[in-house]
Amino acid sequence: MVPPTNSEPLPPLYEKWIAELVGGAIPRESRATCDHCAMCNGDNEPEPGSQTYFFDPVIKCCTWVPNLHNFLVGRILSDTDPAAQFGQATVEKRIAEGIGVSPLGLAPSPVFSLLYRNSSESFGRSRSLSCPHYIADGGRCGIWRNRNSVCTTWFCKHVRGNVGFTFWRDSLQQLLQAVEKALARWCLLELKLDGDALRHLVATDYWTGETDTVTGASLDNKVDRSLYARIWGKWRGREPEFFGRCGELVSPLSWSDALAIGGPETRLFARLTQESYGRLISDEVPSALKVGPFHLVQIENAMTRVNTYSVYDPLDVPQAVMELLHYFDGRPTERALAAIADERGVRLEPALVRKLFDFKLLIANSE
Amino acid sequence: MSTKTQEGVSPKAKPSHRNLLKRGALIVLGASMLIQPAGAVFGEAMQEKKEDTKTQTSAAKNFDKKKKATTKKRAPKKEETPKKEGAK
Repeated sequence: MVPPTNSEPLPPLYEKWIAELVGGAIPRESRATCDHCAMCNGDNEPEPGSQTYFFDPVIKCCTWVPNLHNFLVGRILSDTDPAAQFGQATVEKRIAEGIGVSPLGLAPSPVFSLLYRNSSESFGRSRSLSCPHYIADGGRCGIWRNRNSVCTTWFCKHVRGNVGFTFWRDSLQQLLQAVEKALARWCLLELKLDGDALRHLVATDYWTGETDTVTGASLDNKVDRSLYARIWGKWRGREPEFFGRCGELVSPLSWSDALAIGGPETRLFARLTQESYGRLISDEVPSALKVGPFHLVQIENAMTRVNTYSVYDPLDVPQAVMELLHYFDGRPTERALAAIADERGVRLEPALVRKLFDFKLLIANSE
Repeated sequence: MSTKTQEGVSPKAKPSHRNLLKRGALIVLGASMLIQPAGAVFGEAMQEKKEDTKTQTSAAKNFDKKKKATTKKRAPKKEETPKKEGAK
C-alpha cells in the first residue's frame, strides 16, 4: 500500500509496513518543527529565573547515538541517493573504529551510554553527546531515510498531545523496536553466523542491549579485539558485506513477513498501534470527563502554564478556561457544557474540549 | 490571553460579561486559546530523553548478572581495598 502524501513521513522501509498496518494517513506532527526547532529559543538569551528549558539550536534533539540494527546499516551503505553520502561515510567510520560493532549492528559506545544515562540537563544541549550522523551544517540527519525506531517516533511536541504521544512513543516505537530486534536476529540465522560466534554473541551486552558496562579498554574507547573476532566468526573483515546482505534480506519483506518473523511481541504491539492510531484519527471525547492531574508551572498575565503528559510540551491555558475546569466533575460532558453556558455565559467549542482532553487536563471519568 | 482574543466575537461588539448573561448571548471559547509554547519546563526535562526501550525482562537481566558473578572475577578497585584501621 502506498502511504498518502499528507502522512507524517517515515523511513521508506517502515512507511510501507506501517501504511499496511494502519491503512491510512498518519497525521503530521506539525508542532515538532526540525527546521525551526520548537525547543529552541532562537537567538534570544533565556530570561533570568526563567522556568523554560531550551535546546541548543546547533544540536537540537540529536544528542543521542542511535542503535542501528544490521539491516539498517546495510540499507544505509547501499543507498544510491547522493544525499546519503554523508551518512554512509559516518557509518563506515563507525564500522572501521569497531566500537559497538557486532553482527547485530552498530551500538553506541559504552562510554557514551554511561554518560548519557547519568547526565542531566544534557539532552538537547550537550554537543559532546551529538549523534555521529548529524549534519551540523544545516542541522539535518545524515541517515534520515534509514533512521531507527527511536528517531522515527520521537517528537518533542505533539499536535494531539497525549493522544499523539501514546501512538508514537507508547505504541509505534515499541512495535518498531520489537521488529528491529527480531529482524536483526533473523538475519544472523539467514546468513548462517556460525555456532561459536553466536554463542559468544548471546553472552555479550550487544544481545541484551545493555551496552553501558564500562571496562578498562572500553573506557579508553578501545575495542576488545579478541571478543570482536569471536563474535564475528567467519565474517570478520567482511563486516560491510555482512551488513549489506542483511539489508538485502530485509528490504523485500512485506509487513506480514515481518509480523511472522517478529512473533507474539510484534503482533501484540501491532495491535496496540492499530488501537492508538484509531484514537489519533478520532475526534471523539469521552461522555463523562473529570480534571486530570497536572503540574502547575506558573501563572502570569491571566495565563496558566501547566505540564501534563510531557515536560517538553507544556500548555498555556487562559484563566478564563482554568476557572471552568471544575465543571467537569464526572457528570456527563453535555451536562457540564450546559452548566457552563447557563451559569457562566460561556460556550466551549468541541475542539477546545477535545484539546483539553488530548493534553490530559481533562480525563475520562472512568480513569 | 485575555478574552479580547476570543473566537467568534468581534471586539467592538463585545458587551460586558454581565450584559451578555442578561441577554442570553454566549462567549465562545475555541481551541486556539490553548497555546503550546516553545521549549520545555526547566528542571524536569532531563528526565525525558530518547531511549531504547528495554524489552529484556528484569528477571532475565538479573539472571545474567548472577551468571557473570560466578564466571567472571572483577579486579578489585582501590576503594574496595580494606582500609587500615586502628585497634578499638
